[in-house]
Amino acid sequence: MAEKSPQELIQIDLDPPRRDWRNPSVDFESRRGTWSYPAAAKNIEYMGYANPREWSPTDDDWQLPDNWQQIIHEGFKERLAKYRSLRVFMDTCVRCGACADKCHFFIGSGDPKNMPVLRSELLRSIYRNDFTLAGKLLGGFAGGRKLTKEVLKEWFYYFFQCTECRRCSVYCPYGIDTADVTMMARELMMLVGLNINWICEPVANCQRTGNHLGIQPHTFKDNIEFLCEELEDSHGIKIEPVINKKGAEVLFIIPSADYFADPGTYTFVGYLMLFKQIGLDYTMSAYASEGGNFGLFTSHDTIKKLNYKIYHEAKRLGVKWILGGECGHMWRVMHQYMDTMNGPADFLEVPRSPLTGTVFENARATKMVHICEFTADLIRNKKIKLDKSRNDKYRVTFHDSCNPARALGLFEEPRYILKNVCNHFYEMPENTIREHTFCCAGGAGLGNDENMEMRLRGGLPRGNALKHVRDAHGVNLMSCICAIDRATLPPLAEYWSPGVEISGVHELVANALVMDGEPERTVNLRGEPLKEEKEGTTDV
Amino acid sequence: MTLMLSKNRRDELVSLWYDRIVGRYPAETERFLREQADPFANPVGCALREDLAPVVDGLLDGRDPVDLASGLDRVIRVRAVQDMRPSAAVGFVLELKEAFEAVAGEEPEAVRSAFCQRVERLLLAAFDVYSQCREQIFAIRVNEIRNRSLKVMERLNSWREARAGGPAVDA
Amino acid sequence: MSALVSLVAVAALALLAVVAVASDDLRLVFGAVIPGIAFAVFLVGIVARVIRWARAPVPFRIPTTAGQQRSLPWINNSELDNPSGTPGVLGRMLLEVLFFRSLFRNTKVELLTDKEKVNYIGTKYLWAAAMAFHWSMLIVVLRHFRFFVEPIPRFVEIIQAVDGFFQVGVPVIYATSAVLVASLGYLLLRRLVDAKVKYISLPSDYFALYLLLGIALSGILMRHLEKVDIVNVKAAIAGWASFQLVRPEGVGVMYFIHVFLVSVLLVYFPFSKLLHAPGVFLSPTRNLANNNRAKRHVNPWNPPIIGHTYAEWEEEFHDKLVASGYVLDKE
Repeated sequence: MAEKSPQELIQIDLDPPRRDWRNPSVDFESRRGTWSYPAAAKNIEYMGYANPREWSPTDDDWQLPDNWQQIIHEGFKERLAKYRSLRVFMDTCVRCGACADKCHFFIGSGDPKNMPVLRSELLRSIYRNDFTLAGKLLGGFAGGRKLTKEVLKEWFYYFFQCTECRRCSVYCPYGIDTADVTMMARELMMLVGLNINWICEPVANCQRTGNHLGIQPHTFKDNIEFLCEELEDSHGIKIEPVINKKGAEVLFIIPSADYFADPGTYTFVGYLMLFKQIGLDYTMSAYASEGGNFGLFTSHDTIKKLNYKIYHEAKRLGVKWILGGECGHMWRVMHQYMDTMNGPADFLEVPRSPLTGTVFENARATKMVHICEFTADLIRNKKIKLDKSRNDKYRVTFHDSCNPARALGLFEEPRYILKNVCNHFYEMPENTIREHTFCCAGGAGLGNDENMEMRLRGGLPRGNALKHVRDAHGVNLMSCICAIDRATLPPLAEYWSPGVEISGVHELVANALVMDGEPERTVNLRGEPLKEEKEGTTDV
Repeated sequence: MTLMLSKNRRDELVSLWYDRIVGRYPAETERFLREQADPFANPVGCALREDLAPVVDGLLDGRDPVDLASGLDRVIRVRAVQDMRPSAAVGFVLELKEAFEAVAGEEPEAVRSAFCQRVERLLLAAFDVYSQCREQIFAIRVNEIRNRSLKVMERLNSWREARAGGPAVDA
Repeated sequence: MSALVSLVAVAALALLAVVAVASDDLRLVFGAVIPGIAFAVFLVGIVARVIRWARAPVPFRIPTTAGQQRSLPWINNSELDNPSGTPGVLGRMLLEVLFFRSLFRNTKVELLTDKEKVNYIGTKYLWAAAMAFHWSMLIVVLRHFRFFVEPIPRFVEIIQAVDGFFQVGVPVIYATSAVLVASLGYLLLRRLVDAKVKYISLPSDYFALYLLLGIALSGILMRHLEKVDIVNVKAAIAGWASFQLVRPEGVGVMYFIHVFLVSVLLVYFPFSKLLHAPGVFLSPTRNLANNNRAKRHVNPWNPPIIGHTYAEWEEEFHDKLVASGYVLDKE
């Protein structure tokens, strides 16, 4: 073997020679840490998806069906006829480059194929070749290319490197939404059996048990009772959680991570403390025990399938309306898809806060209210008493989660709440919040541990902005309203901005919430003393 | 011992080093790294722009390379997660040697070899920082699952045992 | 490479027109037949494409929200960036179509030395060039109406007067001519120089730019160097405007290049990315209100999919439900 010169040794390995992006090649073996494991056959089988098998992207042979090109071609054709979005997004891009440097994965990785325009071109080049006159006549000149196995492998690599955060869409002069393109590409890949396990397992679990983690009803109940008892031990506040109660006024839907993973559990307890204090007549459901919906990262049909249980359960329990907890992609589904897919919810009533009388006009049809809208209304109408100083040890910033930001526009409600429950609140730089917010880089099913390097790369822009407020204002807590964020931001912060913890908004609400007859609080929900101990004070 | 280098030379050295580092990225990324001045939109380029000069100054002043390498933490931290082999991730330090030869080639041999030695020690220290970053990534990966769900499950299990009157020790 | 291929293609097309001038028959073809066909292809192509888009259903309402939603009455919502109804959508679309609002959003931040204050400056070059190009293009096209319509409409005269306000040169050099060429030059240069944009550019991206530049330059040369006789031009155009094949007389080679390249553009338009012009009106992330929860959106092909029902679930976990004291629907 020829000896490598020092110059060659320090050459960055970003897929040289990359003269033209249309010649694909992804070396999965050398890029471990940046892709996710494929779906286990049992999950594919359970969901009835195509081509269940055990395989690895590092294999030469991906065991595709013989007519895989035809399957994708037909699938593409079908979707072009069913979605105007796909048609328009395939036709209108002018490659102006406005989106190019907006993707957190491009910023962090430096890999040019992570520019959103190129991500879409992966699909668009096939569209041109197969479905446009110019592409058929002029081929490569018009930007068309044939769908080869190499192209498909590249699809798998890059479409499972998009977190569907929609940041690029904000800057696109034609509103091209790469999230939508990614969703279509993932649907097409699914037709020939290319899925990742961290998406398909939660999907299969959710279909069977009602939630991503596969928690069965007895464990669900145990878990919640346990969290309530823990609270009673630490705070002397007794909560009787309500599950599967018929005739309750409100059905409360939450992401399962809130009752099964830290730090979501603190937020979960926070919700229940608030409900107890205001005396809300609510119920949770052991059947609809998941608000999240990984169908969003799988296929439109799966979204509908998994979302079915929400209205179904609301009807069975006979509630009046639905309240939803803090979760990002769950809210994209509830807001943009649920009513269309599984509505109309004509058996429910227009949501009206029993405490303030406020009618939530913005949820008139879907009948589902975001808990931040609900709580902001409570605070505005002075229905709860808050002691901000209980959060004084925190210097707080707020991370806008992608979906509430760019699919709803839920910006002011959580901020209004935070400003009312803590004394120290600082915004991150303007082009990293609100509609410009940077993703946690673990959304859309990519928050698995084998993909950690890619997540940390993509997490750099958020981590960097966080570090800025940490250094400038001493921020030590980043609050957010997304369960995936609460799972993926702690590693991100640990690596890019150590010393910052992650919380939900309602954890801070519950800390500040003055409850009737409660013993004096000395610790917050995490069991930490409310005030920083002065140095030299004795430990017990 | 402080190695004397005129202000111009020193600036030239910093910018040559910077050029060599960003020049190793694909051309389209290089352009972005150079041109996007916004530190929040371009954290990688920004770290390079800000953190190289103090290291060069420190090397010339003869400061401890271990301290200097921690000044490169931001740069190395990024390289530890980007798509490059360990040799490439820390090898950018060696580029400084070549940059120095190009800028200060006619300096006395003593000065040149002193500087080279310092760069080499910086390289070793940089490798330590890189290893720490990598170890941290692996630790994060392992701990993530534990922190997320296992902790809750452990607590839950002992609570269950206690409730069932099992072997849990109650105070 | 992409850039070169396209340059050669456009140059070849221009050359074709030059060659054509020599022959009387070809003058008829290039001066009357081809423009007529091109215009027909353009019209039919655009209409067909828009119909094809419009016929594709919009199963879901998926606006990209770029401002505060309308929720509680005491929270100010940003109607133009996150419209809650039709007026807002119209406003958003107008801003998008007339002023390229999304492109304008490109901002960059400068950190001041004290690290406490942050300054925001827009990186608006792309936006400015795009605005300059599209608006001058529109005005140039409107100006050309004086060739097609008799009598010349009042608004065309006004545009002409304003455009030639500076009264430089004989005939007057229009401001938009200069702006058009300059902005096209910038857009082309950007593709050639910015590695990021160069990387994503396809041959067809350069082709469109060269073609437009060719059209603009040949037009300007015709007006200012060749000093073509306006009466003859008008007569030639009046011919195909009235669907008669009239061989253009008294017009020079630039006229043929200009008209031929315009014809190519017209034919190319409906089959290429130039479709972004009508496409922007149909983009579901921009032309829909974010009132999903207030007003039900109907999917015309909503598939009849049913999830795991409660009854199935209760049956599957029956024993566990009983053991942990759930009340069941079915005993």
